[in-house]
Amino acid sequence: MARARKRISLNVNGTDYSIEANPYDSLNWILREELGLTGTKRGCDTGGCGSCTVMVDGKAIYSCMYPVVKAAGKTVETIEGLSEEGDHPLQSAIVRNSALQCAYCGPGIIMSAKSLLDSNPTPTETEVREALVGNICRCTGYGKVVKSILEASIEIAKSR
Amino acid sequence: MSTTQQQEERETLLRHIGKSVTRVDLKAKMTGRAIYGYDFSLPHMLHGKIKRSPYPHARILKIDTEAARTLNGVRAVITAWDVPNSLYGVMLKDTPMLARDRVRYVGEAVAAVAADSLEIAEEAVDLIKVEYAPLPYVTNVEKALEKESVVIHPDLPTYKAGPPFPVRIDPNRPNVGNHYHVEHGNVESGFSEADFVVQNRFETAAMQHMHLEPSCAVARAEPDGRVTIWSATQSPYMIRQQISDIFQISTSRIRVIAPYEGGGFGSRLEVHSEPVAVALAMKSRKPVKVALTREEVFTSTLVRHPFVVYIKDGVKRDGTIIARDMKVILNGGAYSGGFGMSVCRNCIFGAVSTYNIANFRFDSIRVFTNAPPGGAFRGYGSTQVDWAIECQMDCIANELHLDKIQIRRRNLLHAGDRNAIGETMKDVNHHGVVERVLEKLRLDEPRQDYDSGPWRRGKGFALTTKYTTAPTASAATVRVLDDHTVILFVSGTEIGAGSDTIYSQIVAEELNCPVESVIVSGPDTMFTPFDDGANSSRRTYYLGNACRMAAQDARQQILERASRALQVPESNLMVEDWKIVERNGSKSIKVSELFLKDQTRSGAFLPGSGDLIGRGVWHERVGFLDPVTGRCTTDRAVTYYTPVATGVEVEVNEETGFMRVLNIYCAIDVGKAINPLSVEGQIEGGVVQGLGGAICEELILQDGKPINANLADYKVPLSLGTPHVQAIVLESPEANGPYGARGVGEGPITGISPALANAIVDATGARVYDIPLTPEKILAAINLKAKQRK
Ligand code: FES
Ligand code: FES
Repeated sequence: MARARKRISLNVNGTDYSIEANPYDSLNWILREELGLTGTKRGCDTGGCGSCTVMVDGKAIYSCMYPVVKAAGKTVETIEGLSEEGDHPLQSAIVRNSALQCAYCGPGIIMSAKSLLDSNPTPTETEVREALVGNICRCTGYGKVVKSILEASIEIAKSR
Repeated sequence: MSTTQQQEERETLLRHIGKSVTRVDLKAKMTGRAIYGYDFSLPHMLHGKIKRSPYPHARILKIDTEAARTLNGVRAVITAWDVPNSLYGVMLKDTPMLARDRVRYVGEAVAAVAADSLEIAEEAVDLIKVEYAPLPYVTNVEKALEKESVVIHPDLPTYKAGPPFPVRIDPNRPNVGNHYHVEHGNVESGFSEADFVVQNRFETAAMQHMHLEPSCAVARAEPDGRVTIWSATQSPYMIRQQISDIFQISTSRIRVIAPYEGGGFGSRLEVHSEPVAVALAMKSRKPVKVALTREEVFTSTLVRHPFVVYIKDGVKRDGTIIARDMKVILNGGAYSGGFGMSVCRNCIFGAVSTYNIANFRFDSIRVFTNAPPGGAFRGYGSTQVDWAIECQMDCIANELHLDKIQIRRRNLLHAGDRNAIGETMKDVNHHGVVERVLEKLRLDEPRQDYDSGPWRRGKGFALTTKYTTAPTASAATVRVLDDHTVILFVSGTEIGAGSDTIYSQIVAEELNCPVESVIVSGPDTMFTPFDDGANSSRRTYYLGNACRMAAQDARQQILERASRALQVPESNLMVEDWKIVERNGSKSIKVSELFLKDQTRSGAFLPGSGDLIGRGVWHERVGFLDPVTGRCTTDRAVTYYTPVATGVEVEVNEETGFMRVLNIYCAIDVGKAINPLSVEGQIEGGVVQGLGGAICEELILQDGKPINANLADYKVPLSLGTPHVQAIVLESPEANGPYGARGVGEGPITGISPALANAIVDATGARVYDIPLTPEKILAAINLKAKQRK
């Protein structure tokens, strides 16, 4: 079963990695199983739930649908890279509002929200809801998490 | 001082209870550091994969594993012939770990492989060749109820069952696994006194829990024959018992550790991949992880039982329901689904806890079919029964031209009334929740409809009651350490509900210390004491009480030690922020000074000056239901009842059947909100999960096969289009609840479906009798109504 493994370089959360991967390995698989970054979740592996969302070159993508070879030479940002202390305004707002419950959706939601706020620092509620439409949350009903993202956007705008 | 005064005094003195304390688990989760079951791994572990049946019903003729066994990197292959020939099931032992001679649903486990990588395991599973002889199958529950039906379990009479859930064998209905009957008053004479008879048939579809973290287990066979399992289960002790039953190992030899859980909603009260992981670990002598895919979660875990409900009411002109005859048929799928038998019983509690009906008959029948097994699901049978009853209440009101709220109030059960199973009702505050929802829903306001166009507005209401089951038990242990930390040992998995925070608040309240002083251990059956699991909205109440008692026990020991040290009577001492101070005096001592360390300064162990251990146990006994009359043997069958009122405002497009849900109000009497933000979260989330089941969720079978077992085709509520839920919290204390609290997890899911169906009728005059309320069904109902009008 010798399949051509490929050497790939990529940058995850500011650290350069050189890894060997099968061409069909997903970025999700490499992050979780090879690099031990299990903060990025897997809920379906078929692009249906959003729990695996990370940012590649600043854009939110489903890491389960993203072949790791495509990430070669690119910059990947995961939940673990968001802040040293867990005090990024998105994290703080969600904790403050008890906005999530099991929070398995949380890392994906935060990365979707981060990508939104990076390009649109003052979104409306509808824009936040649109940005989260690919992130299923089964526990909360979304209300408090949308509120938290809006609060975080204000906080980030203030600190600029 | 009167007791109410004392109560009020205590309330104002509460330091952490009733405060929206920051959740103790969220920061770890929001930084990606929290380890969930699916994230867990061990060095050099193997990956397991399960071979599953493609047939809804077939005989297994031959399983050829040769090619799989010889594949490079495969470390173990198992079929039914490699594992104990035992059947398991919490309430009925009917389920094989791997199918032996017959498969009964698409997705049933037939064989399994452990290999060095997941990729090899997947390849090996494909190499296993199974020869089947397909058998006729049945998935329609009413067909399965017939005498001539295909028989799913020919050996049913030989299966073992738990005492409270005997199998009711019926030679005329070979697929009936369980049948409960309630007979109260005289239904026939009730109907003869009635002015009107209203009868209907309602249905619910197979809904999936769809917890976001797929089920997963890691197992390790220890060198001395013990087994360790890491599983994000809702009930570590239940998993332990099931593994013990299957493998015939004593429970003390099995250790279950539960990491964080990405939601469960009832599904993970039951074993899923644990038994296969254990068998593979035993065979390969290596740790094995069996992580289900999303598709496997859909096809091969559990669903919410689809119900068919027949309801017939005899009603007096003034709206009094004088007789009610209900028959509910549960599509149980291929197996008992762990708790399926008790869903068949417990749905009774949903039917007898809101209205006082003098003559009442109820039959609930759980039927085996070739569908995926039905099991515990948030709401536990109440939801499906409530769906029918609360639609029916509106049907009666419409038919008799009575006010929809009035008819509910007229028939309400009151404190002191006996319900149909003989329980004496405690003061359940139905009036309160009704009032609070009506304040928002404003049914008295003139209808605000569009002047033209296809959209019509409507409002809907439902009144429901969720029971909390009994008998169950919870235990807690606290260990107070000399650095002013208290470790709480409990077996309550943090499934997402915020329970770790609730326990921390309670322990900190009783020890009068900061919440941050409390560390919650996480379940590990080797160390953490017994708990009946995260089910039936029971943990705030049961585990809450146990935690409170354990902390009080520790506090008492602290006071005893301090009293000796300070030479002050205990009654003159109080504990505050890890200091014991004399009331109206000057003496004080720190808790750390009550420990005497050994000469190396590495630990305190001496009796009277070592670790402080506090213990608490909460247990409630209730009566059982008589098999013939359904009457309870005592005046209580459940722990408590929780009233819920749900109101909705919708718009329906009469040309397309499309519905927009504008507002949802849900009021629930929680007794005491120990953490108000968490309570709100439970209400919002429960209502929205219910909304999914109400409008879009259904696992669809075609030719016996699920055809939408993925998240593209199985629709759940998303951020866009999910309305804002207004949570309304009432607090009428529960006498035995910790600080008056009841559980809140399930109530919110029970009323949303009927409220929506009733709102559609209000908007269009058309009624849909089965959930989900899809646009196609709504449109068909509108068209039917239009035809009838002509
Ligand atoms: S795991 Fe990638 S979308 Fe679900
Ligand atoms: S909090 Fe559980 S899925 Fe979002």
